[in-house]
Amino acid sequence: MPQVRVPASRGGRLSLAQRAQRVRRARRARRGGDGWAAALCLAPALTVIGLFVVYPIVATGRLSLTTWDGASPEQVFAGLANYVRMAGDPEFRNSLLVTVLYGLGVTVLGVASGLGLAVLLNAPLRGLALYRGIFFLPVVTSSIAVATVWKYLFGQDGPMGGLTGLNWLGDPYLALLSLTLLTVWKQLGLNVVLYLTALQAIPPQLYEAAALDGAGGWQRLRRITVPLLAPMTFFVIIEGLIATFQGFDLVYALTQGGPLGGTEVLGFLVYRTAFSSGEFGYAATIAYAGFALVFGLSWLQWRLGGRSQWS
Amino acid sequence: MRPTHFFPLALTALLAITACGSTGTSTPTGNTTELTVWHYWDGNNAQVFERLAKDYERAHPRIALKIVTVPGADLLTKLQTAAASRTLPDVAIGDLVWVPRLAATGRLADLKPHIPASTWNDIYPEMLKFGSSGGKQLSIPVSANTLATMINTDLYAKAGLDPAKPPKTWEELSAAAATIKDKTGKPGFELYTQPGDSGEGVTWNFQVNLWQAGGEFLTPDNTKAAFNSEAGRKALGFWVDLIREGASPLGPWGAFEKGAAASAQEGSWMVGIWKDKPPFPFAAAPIPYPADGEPATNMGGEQAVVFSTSPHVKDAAAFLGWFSDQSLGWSKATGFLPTRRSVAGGADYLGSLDPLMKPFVEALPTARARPATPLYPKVSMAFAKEVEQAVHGKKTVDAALADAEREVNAILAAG
Repeated sequence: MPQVRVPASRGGRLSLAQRAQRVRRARRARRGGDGWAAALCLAPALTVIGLFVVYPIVATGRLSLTTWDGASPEQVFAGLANYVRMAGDPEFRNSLLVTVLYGLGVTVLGVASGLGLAVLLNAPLRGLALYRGIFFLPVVTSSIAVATVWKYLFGQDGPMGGLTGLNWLGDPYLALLSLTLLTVWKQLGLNVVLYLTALQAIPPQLYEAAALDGAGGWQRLRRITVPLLAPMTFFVIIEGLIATFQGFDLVYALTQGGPLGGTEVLGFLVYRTAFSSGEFGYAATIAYAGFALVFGLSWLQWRLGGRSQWS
Repeated sequence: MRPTHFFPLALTALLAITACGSTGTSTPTGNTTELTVWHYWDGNNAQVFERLAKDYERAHPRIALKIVTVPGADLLTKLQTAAASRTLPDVAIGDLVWVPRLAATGRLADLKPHIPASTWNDIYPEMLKFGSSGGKQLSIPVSANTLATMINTDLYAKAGLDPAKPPKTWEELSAAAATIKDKTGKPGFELYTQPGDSGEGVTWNFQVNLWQAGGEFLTPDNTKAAFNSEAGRKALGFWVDLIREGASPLGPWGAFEKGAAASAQEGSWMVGIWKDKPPFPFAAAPIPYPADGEPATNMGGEQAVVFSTSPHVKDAAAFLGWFSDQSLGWSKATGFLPTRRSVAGGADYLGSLDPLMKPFVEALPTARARPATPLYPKVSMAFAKEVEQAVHGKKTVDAALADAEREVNAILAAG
């Protein structure tokens, strides 16, 4: 006969130590002293998180169940009508596809370029600080300003257009590629700095030992650098995904979601739906879909590799 | 009461006081009536408006005007919030396309009885369409602008064309564009091909060609699409051909303004913006129309409304009637086009007019109003997306118009 095991935490059989702990906790709770102190210490953080994170999430969720137009005094409750509409909305489907492609492009190219450049900059070069400064410059420059410059560069009469003979911003696929390249370039400096920090944390003995064993440069990169940078790669990927799934400013200034919806990422679709078409309720629904996507992806990443590296 | 409750109480009291202080409703102090006016003009336009307000106060000692500038993008939102919290001003002046949306709140006063018929009769009838509702007139036009063709005279000259003799018909425009492409390698006429965030750039430019071909955008009662017609096919066919021939670039708007295209349809405000520092020598001309069609243009501008929540509707309307009468001085000082026919056709105005403005002013009698429905923003976007499909060759002209008709009808039916 197999024995039925009752999990200890469910209150079945408790070990002596667990019982003692419970009693101590109960006594402490009755005294109440620690609770107040904890609440007081947590209050500032909880207030900020509650006001700027929890409240907007709840308010947007509520809004997504209405047909509010952004103007009327009353917000008419519509149940799940907006979600049903979204499920069959070709514009939403297009936007989702564009966002996923954009996210993939930015993360893959972002990791490759960030890692590559960081490895190069990790060498003892002359004027290293200058290079690092130059590569970091786009990160701190206004998005609207850089997007405006890129719009000129990629225009039919601009240098990129003239050089390649392609209509970068007049074709949906090329426009998405332009947007991806711009985003990678804009984030490059940040990724480089992140990777540099991680590179410098790798003990040099590992490289020395590998070199003694006859490992070449490529092998050292593949077998030592890349695996040891995995936690940072996880962070760079998450950061890239979040930036693209929430992306709006670069799209707004470079392509306005066009042409033919080729760069209409979720962030832009939300903006257009709310502020141009005056459908705040439906826009909140789309925003919620984007939120769920970022949340789900982060969780997946966490499960697949990040957790073991970070905990 | 425990003293710990003091702060919330004080805060509530403070909020109450500030809330009272910020209300827009007028308060008669003694014998004077205060009228609050919200507008979004800035710079020179705002200064001219405030000067006019002072003139009015001097002539009408019983009235005090409180002029409040609200940044353009915030005004509509602020009015909507104010409508909800019952803190509306007496008067608001904003973009004419907002009027149907404000009218839908049911809080606009009828201005017709308070302003003389002679004033109403002198205003361009198309401008009155935005605020006309069941025999009532809920807004009064106070400024206008129109579209006309702007020409890069350098590029025209380089192509061996005379900028003083611009194309008059669609056929001539196509021919000129071919010459320009041939001689300079640049597109001859830039179309607005990307809907962007609102679609209106495409739609309001396209409507000009639709009207020129004898078409209508919506049915007169704004309940159904009317553009899927012979005229609609002609106008969209004209656009598709221009793109195919390379007469227009297929990309983000702005090629003409950067000197990369020889001409484009532009608003009258561009004359003022480029007045001091033109990026290249330019000329303005009437918009070419089909040989068997008629001239037409689209119009923008500002209109003023009085809220029915105001206790001084009559006084507010009287001020706006007077403001409309200042059309001559107001237009001269700001560069807005006149809303009054007697002014636009008068020697006084025309004599002092910048020659570059002339085609815009002369287009006024042919200027048409966009449909006055609060659903217009959605309609505009849906329509622009289908035009984009056609100019990219993804759909035929017939299919794009049919799909646009279906979508627009669905939007109008859903309400």
